[in-house]
Amino acid sequence: MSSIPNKILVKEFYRQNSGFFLLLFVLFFGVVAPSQQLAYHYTLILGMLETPLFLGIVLFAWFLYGLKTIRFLLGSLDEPEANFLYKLAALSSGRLFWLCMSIQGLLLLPVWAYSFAVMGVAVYRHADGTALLVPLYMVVINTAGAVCLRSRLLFPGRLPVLSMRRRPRRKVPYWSILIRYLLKEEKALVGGIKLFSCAALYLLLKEQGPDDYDLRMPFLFYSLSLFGHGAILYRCRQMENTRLLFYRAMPVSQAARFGQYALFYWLLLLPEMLVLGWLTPHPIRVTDTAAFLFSGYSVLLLLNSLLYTAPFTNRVFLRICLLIFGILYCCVLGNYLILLSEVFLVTATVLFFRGYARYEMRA
Amino acid sequence: MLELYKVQKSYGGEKILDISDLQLPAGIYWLQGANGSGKTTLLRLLAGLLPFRGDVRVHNHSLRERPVAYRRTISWADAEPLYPGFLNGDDLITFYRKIQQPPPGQVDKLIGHFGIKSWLSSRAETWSSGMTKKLSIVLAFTGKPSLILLDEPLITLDQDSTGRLIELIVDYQRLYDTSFFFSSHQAIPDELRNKTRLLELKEHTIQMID
Repeated sequence: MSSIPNKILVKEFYRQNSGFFLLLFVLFFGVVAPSQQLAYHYTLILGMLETPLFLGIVLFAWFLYGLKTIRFLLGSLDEPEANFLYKLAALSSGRLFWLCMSIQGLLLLPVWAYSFAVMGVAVYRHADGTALLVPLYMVVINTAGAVCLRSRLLFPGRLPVLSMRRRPRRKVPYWSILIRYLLKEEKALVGGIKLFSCAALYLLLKEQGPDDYDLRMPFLFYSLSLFGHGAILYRCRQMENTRLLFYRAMPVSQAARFGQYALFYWLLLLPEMLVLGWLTPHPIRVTDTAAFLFSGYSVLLLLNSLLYTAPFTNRVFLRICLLIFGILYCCVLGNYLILLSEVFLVTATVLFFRGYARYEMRA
Repeated sequence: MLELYKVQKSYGGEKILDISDLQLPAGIYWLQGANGSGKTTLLRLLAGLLPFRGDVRVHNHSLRERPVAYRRTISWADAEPLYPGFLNGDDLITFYRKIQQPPPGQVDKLIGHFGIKSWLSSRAETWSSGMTKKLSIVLAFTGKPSLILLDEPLITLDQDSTGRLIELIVDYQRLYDTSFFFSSHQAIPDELRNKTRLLELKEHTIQMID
């Protein structure tokens, strides 16, 4: 019974807010080393227990998150594709309530998880008031959401003020469409490549010491991941050629178009930037971090521009990527990485400005 | 208004278009031609989507020399438009608004005219081909283009929407002196018959029929 509502409401909520959760994850777990995570969160929770103001701020943040979930639920029911969910109103009162409780509970899952941690520490530290307050508060938020959802299902049209999920965005820049495409339609490909890239960088670079400092092997894996990025770029271009064709007819200068790509690829490299930033200045040196990032960025821009020189088949483009991968690795061995990146960047710019208007997609 | 100079287009060595020189004053043009005669290619070429030999000018803005100024004067809608399925109508309208900079209230009027407001918040992947077509027309009319290029504008539209599109064409021509260039296999609608000049794409070039 709950699988379809879960798919439409719960999965969709996490899908739509994946960026928000990624940011939260980075803020909560990315700012300290893995070995210090427990101590860091224990200190945070102790702060909540000992400072009522801090606890109040946290509870207010949870309230805002609860409000966000309620708005999402009510807004979702306004969508034409979710209209059939009103059939749920035919369930018995009790079943409907518990279904709504479970949906809201799943949306509140990250908050529930943290609240359990707070409760655990509160019990351990004999802070009985907080140990009681936190679960009660969570039950209230959970129930409030469930009541709103149940009320909307039983009495459509009520609570219109809360349903504000899909307000039109104020801005939809081109790069954001490309990012959304990757997040929505190429999750597995992007996720796999990013996981490989970030894991390889982290695992191979964290062991670097001053005595055995050698970046050739990490760079080999990094350039392999850049090679993999070629597949992402190729898919993006295919999507642009079919579903974003109208953009070519719009009055946008080539410099502005290039700027959109420059921003897009910068964002695409963000996970690698975060990993490298984390490992800098120790164990990896600042100049080497810059070389890694600069080379990666210039390769992506070069591949992007190359895709505007001719309508390559994926096999031909694969060969081009392999060639660039080979050149890149040779330059690492010869210590010409920065120079090569500069050449790539200039070539990318020239090719884009020469190729964009002349580009003809495959018929 | 629309001028073509030695326009040539080939695909894989096969000549598709070979139009020596052609000047079309402001107005409504209805381009006909057999399947594969190059109508869609011509419209895409005029929209700046395809490379070609020669040059095209609208109000003296050359596509080759001043591509941005040229594109500001034209607008294009595809015969069977496709949009990313994860975008909704509001996203697309916001995107167009930013670039085309329509006069205040114009987009809301267009949305009301075609009655598409109720599904603008839903994603493109849930739309029928008729809904997609209507939105593509709204987007093509956004801003103040001097020339609107519509490839097969009447296919997939229901009778009511066809009537509304024709009203809009007449209004835009009267209010803004907008020109239109259509490609279509269908007959010219009665309401446009007296205002429209018929063209035919034959033997790689454009011929005036009347």
